[in-house]
Amino acid sequence: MNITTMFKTPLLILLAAIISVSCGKKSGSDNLVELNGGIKGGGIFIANETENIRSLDPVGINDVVSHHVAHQIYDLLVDLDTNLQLRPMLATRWDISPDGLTYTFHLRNDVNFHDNACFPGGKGRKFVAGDVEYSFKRVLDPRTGSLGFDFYKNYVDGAKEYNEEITKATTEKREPKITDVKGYKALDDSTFQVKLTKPFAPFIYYMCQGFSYIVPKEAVEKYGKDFFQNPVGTGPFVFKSWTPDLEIIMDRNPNYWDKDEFGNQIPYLAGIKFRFIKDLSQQLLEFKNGNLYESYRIPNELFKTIVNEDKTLTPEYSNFIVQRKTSLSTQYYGFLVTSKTFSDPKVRQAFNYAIDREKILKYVLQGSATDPAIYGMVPPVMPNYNAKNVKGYTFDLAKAKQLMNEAGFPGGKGFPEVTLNINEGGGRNTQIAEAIQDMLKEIGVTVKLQLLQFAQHLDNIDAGRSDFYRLGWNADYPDPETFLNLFYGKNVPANPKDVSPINSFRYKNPEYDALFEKAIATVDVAERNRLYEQAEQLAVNDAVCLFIYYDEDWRLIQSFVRGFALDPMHRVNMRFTWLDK
Amino acid sequence: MATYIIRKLLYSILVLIGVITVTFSLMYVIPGDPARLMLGQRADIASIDAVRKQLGLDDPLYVQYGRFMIKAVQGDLGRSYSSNRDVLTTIIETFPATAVLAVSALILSSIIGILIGVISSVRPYTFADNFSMLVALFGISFPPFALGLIMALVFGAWLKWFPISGYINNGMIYLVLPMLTLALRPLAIIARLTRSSMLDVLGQDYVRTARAKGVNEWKVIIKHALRNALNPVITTISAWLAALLGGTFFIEYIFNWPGIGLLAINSILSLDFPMIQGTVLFTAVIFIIVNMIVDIVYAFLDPKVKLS
Repeated sequence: MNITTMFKTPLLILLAAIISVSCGKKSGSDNLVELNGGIKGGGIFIANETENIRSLDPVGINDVVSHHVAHQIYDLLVDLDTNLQLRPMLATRWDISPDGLTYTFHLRNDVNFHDNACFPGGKGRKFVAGDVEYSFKRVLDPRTGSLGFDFYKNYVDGAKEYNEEITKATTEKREPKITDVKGYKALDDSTFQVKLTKPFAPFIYYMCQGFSYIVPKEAVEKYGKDFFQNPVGTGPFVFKSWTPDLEIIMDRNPNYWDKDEFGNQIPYLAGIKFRFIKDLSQQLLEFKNGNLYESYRIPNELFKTIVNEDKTLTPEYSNFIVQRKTSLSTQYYGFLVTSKTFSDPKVRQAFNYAIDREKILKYVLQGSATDPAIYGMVPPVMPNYNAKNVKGYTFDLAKAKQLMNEAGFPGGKGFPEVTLNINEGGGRNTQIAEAIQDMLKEIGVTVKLQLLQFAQHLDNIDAGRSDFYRLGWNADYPDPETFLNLFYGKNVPANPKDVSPINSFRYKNPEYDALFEKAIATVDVAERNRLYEQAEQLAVNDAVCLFIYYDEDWRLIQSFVRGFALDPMHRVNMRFTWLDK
Repeated sequence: MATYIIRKLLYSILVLIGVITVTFSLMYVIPGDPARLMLGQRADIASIDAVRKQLGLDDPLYVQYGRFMIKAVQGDLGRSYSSNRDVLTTIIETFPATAVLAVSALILSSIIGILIGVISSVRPYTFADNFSMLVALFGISFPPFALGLIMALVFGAWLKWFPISGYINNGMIYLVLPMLTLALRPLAIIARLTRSSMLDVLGQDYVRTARAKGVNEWKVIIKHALRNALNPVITTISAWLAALLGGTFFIEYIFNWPGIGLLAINSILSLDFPMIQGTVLFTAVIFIIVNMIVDIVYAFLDPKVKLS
């Protein structure tokens, strides 16, 4: 045997092995069945999340990604539709007392929890009002590691007392004396009541948050600390498995209580697979290869390759569907109004007038954002709110110069060099900051950019160490309060050395606070929004921050995906999703 | 021999204490308040303080260090800040993915590397040799993460031969690209080392004698030369095993391979301190154990090592 032949054989074997491996199992084909109304049932939807999920225990869900997954497993009392309007879920209807203090929820009586080993015989039992009380109490209980107590402590009657007593009892290693929350009461199996200590109109939206998913006591007790990775709910899909960093798999709940308008039992899909590919470009590649059914967000550097000027898809991507929606999100640069540099509103207003937002949108963001932020903080897409009644700032260089002059800095003379803190995270932040840096030069302001890691960036902002900083704010729920709370003076600590994480501008205006307090206590939506508008106008007049733009969400989906709408809060609901293959 | 092993063990314990100290201090070097990150932007001061207290972050540094040290020795690395999972359990669950990738890449690189090295050495300075060594040089100098991206683009996106992300639970095909990417560098090193070692051995008198006696050429190469030339190659392979088992960070990240590397990178990105500490500590332990085993095996094989 010669030497070449001797080495050729194993090489060929190896090559054959690689080829045979490469012909291995690919994602299986979907067995679809025809349903009423031309809908098809079956198939596994392959979704992707670009961040890891935190928890599937409702008490730990304060991030968007966990919410996306959990929303398929659990139900809420009240949900939002794709236009962010309230819609019944486990509660068929609800009443709010005229004084805004009592919320009464009338519950469905045809709902069962998922079949699970935590129930006798493995058969899911009927959902009752006691489950709501149990689930909501867990959010106030420090022993559960809840991240949601903050939301409720100032509003739900007895929430604080319940939490404090448990904390105390745990420290003293004894049983808590308070075992119930005064404000939560199951009146009977199908009626649940919440009592607030003071009127807080956005409270109904708290029912749509991740903390408000309903869980059965049996599952929490069986799985204990590991309930977060063994979730049991009443939702349309049943949790099957979770491999961290890789995938979450869930199957259709055949006993789900809801039906569509054609009488079909929902959900239509046979299951969902959530994958976790973090890199946007990689996500796009996998989407193009057909291994994902959605690709949320378009990488900035590829935007022009994918989207035409008229916002349609380029020929290379034309066999996909593009979804875009103005999101409930505002991008801004905050001013620390207590700092020497930015204490004068005229300076802050000058900055706002000096920025040509249209240019930023066109040349830096290349059309990937929707509107310049010329109506202040609350985006115009906020439901039931006339954001456009709020007069913000448009580009007016002459006015900007005049204001700098009035502030005692003609042509920027004598104005100190400003450091703009931005966080890492793609080229977009830096590119926008560079554009703004150039624009502010026009009024004689020199801006130095400082790029920081996000955690450090937040630390500096909270501690009042950043005078001028980039941040964005996404709505927690569709009520202007979620944005306007940022300007509320009572969120600022008395001691300037303390951190101020919510109102990081440290803006205090008693007139604003009075209007804001009046608004959140007003049950009537129209009247409430009128008060919000007045309050917001005050903060905008004071130019608490440099409003830049309202974000837009972009998502590509495969051409055969139906019933998978994109909403302004990027909520994910696959109850009505189906595959038209 | 017993003294040697005990000494090695003591050294390893010292290194471990050092690693625990360094991983503990990571938390204080990296900026950012974990409580604030956990609670999100909406949290107020009272809640942040409560969570800090719950996590024990308000205790004096030495108390936290002592607690960390005791728990680490007991195998309790705490719970992840971002996923609430038990750190050690998560790492143990994740490790097989890294092991599969590392071992398969190492087997592949050893087989092909030795083959290339032998071919190059028996036909030195020919086109085949020059070409192989050029490829090997490329393999050594080319950054694996860049190679990974190119592989993903060419074989995943353009040719669509292999998937670019996922795990073998969906088919062995998912192993191909990360394995090839990871194998290239050790392959190149093994090939070069085998070649130089073989050239050295092939020039020895006993090989010449074997040839003079008319022994079949392939028998000379395999039996007489390769067997002796493999010693340094095996040392290199063991060292690579430790390095690859410790986490193949960028490759796992690029191909979304759910191993220790991906876990570590995600923990760093989300400032999940217990998980960062856990992955660093685990990597260090693997490194120490593998190296210790190699050292001890060596001591058995080579009496000179014991003297040193």
